[in-house]
Amino acid sequence: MASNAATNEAFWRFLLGRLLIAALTLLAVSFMIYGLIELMPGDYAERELFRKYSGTGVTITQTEIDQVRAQLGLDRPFLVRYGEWLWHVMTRFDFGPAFRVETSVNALIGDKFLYTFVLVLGAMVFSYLIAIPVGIWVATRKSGWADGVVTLISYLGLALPNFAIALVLLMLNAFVFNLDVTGLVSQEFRGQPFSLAKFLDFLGHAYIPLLVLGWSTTAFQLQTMRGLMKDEMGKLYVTAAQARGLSGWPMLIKYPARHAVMPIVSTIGFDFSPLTNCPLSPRFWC
Amino acid sequence: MAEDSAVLRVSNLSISFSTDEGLVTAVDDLSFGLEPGKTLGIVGESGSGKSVSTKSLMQLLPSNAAIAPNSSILYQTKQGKYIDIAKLDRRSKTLDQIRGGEIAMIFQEPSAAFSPLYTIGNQMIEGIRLHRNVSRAQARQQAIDMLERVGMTNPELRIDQYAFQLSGGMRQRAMIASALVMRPAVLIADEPTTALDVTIQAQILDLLAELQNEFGMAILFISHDLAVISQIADDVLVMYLGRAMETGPVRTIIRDPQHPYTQGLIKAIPRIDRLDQPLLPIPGDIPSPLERPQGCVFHPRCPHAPDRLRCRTDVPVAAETDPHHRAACHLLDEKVLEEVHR
Amino acid sequence: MLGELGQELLLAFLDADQNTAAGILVCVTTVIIAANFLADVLMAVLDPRVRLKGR
Repeated sequence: MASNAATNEAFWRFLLGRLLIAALTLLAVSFMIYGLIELMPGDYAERELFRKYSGTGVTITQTEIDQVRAQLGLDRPFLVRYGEWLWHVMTRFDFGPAFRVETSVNALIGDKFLYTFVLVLGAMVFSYLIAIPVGIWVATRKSGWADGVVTLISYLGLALPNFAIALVLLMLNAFVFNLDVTGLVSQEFRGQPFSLAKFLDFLGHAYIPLLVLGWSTTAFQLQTMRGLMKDEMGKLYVTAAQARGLSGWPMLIKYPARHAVMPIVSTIGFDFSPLTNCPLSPRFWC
Repeated sequence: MAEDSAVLRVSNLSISFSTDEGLVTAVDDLSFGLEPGKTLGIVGESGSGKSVSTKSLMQLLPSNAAIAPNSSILYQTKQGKYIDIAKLDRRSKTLDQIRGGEIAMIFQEPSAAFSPLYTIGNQMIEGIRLHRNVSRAQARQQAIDMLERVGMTNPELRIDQYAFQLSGGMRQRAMIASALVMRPAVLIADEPTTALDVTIQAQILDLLAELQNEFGMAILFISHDLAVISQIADDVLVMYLGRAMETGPVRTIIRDPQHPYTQGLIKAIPRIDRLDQPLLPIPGDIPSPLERPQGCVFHPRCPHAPDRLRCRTDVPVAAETDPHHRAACHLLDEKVLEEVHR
Repeated sequence: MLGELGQELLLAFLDADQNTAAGILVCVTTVIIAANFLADVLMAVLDPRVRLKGR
């Protein structure tokens, strides 16, 4: 059909536009980070030597600094270094050497990034799985206890600081259930390379951070869903659907819930903000 | 009496809402009957309870509304069974069968009555398949046929469009099609022409009359506009503050209104042959539902009430002035008395 | 682990380790862009108005 072709074309144009913007954003982000660090006084070579000799009374000479610089390739101009880094990222998906730990950045980030991602994604899925159905259900209750209980739990989740929840859960696990809570993976997997067994072990440990991350998000989403749902229930198309003879959960899901869920869906992108915020929070569960 | 022939007989219907400010009476002791193939027009200002009373016929009221226990909404199904809708549980299967299948409804704003997330066809087919055991393809064909019947051009194309892609008149036609495709015995039309241009309004009224001839359903037509009601209705029910003021055949009501409120409504209709005369609105505003007047609910705005104590203390009982013509007003007793004295 | 990734980022900044800092942030940004893209596609699927009227 003609309209179908038009829709398809519009979709591909939209997709292409998005990819272009994404590429530009990534370029800008990496350039800004590179540039900002460049603007800071000193470079990695100075810092490494300082760390090596600090407290030993050894005087660091300029030649030594230059030597390390040349060794690491830091003597070349900024744009050359950035260009080379960018080229390797784009062609080989290689983020270059990580100076401080003397491995590659890929190895350094590697599974840590994966774990973080899985945790944030897990918390998000967890919060949707609870918030959306419970929000719908609470909104359709006339009044009373259900609303009260859900609101209480929600406000607890919103009001309690995440670290407090984390500490309580850790204590419960350590002292009541006698579980190993010292890491996201069991002792035997520490420092091991990534493997499926290690990943499964991680999932077994992940529920504490999931709960901590997920509780407040869930509470927020739930209250949003409940409010939106109450709003939608009063709309005329709901009455019209009921007047056609549709009722119960099929009606709720087809009409008000689908309308109510849209503002939540449109902000999925924001749900990944813990990815940028949480990594900077203190390491309570690592 | 007409009791036996009526497809819908409402008796002593009272509806109240529990709000934060207290219990609000929206409909008070309303009774009327709806004959098959006939149109009953309910007229009244906004807040007169006309919309609430018709929504209650399908139990579509919000959850804070309650129908009084002595109310009855007796409906005769297509199979000839009698069901008191007022006594049905909100979740009963019977209610779902009546909604759409037996009694259908069209609304003032078709743009809001269709969800923008689904095509017109999707929402029509949903209705058809809830009430008829047909395949999706059959239901789709029935929907297309009905859209064609209500005067939609290109029904095969329109069925896959969304309500927001249609014009106001086309949307209302689609709404009518989606209600009539289930061949209901009763069609409730809640101000179906209010949101439309006058020319489109006339088209829709003609269409409804035409479809009534063809399908023989009874229509309950709600409007604040007595002029519109007089075009389509056989009988009229005039409502004020949830009470029936006057009821009777449309000609009698228009030509010989007995109730001061009806008289006021008729005087307030702008007339093209009397452009030089000022409009005569009914003085005052409809009171807040929280402050229901004692006695006759219309007395604060009634020109005859100031010199009659009864109007402020006693609720008037509906009296028959002509066959089938009833009005609830104390003035009528006086007229009767005068005649007796003579 | 949440902390470790953040810690690496912080240390990378303090040590002026451009590769590591830019690497971590590029990864995180990619995920966020992908999530926003997913939201837009889901919205277009859920709401025909987005599809038919454009944005």
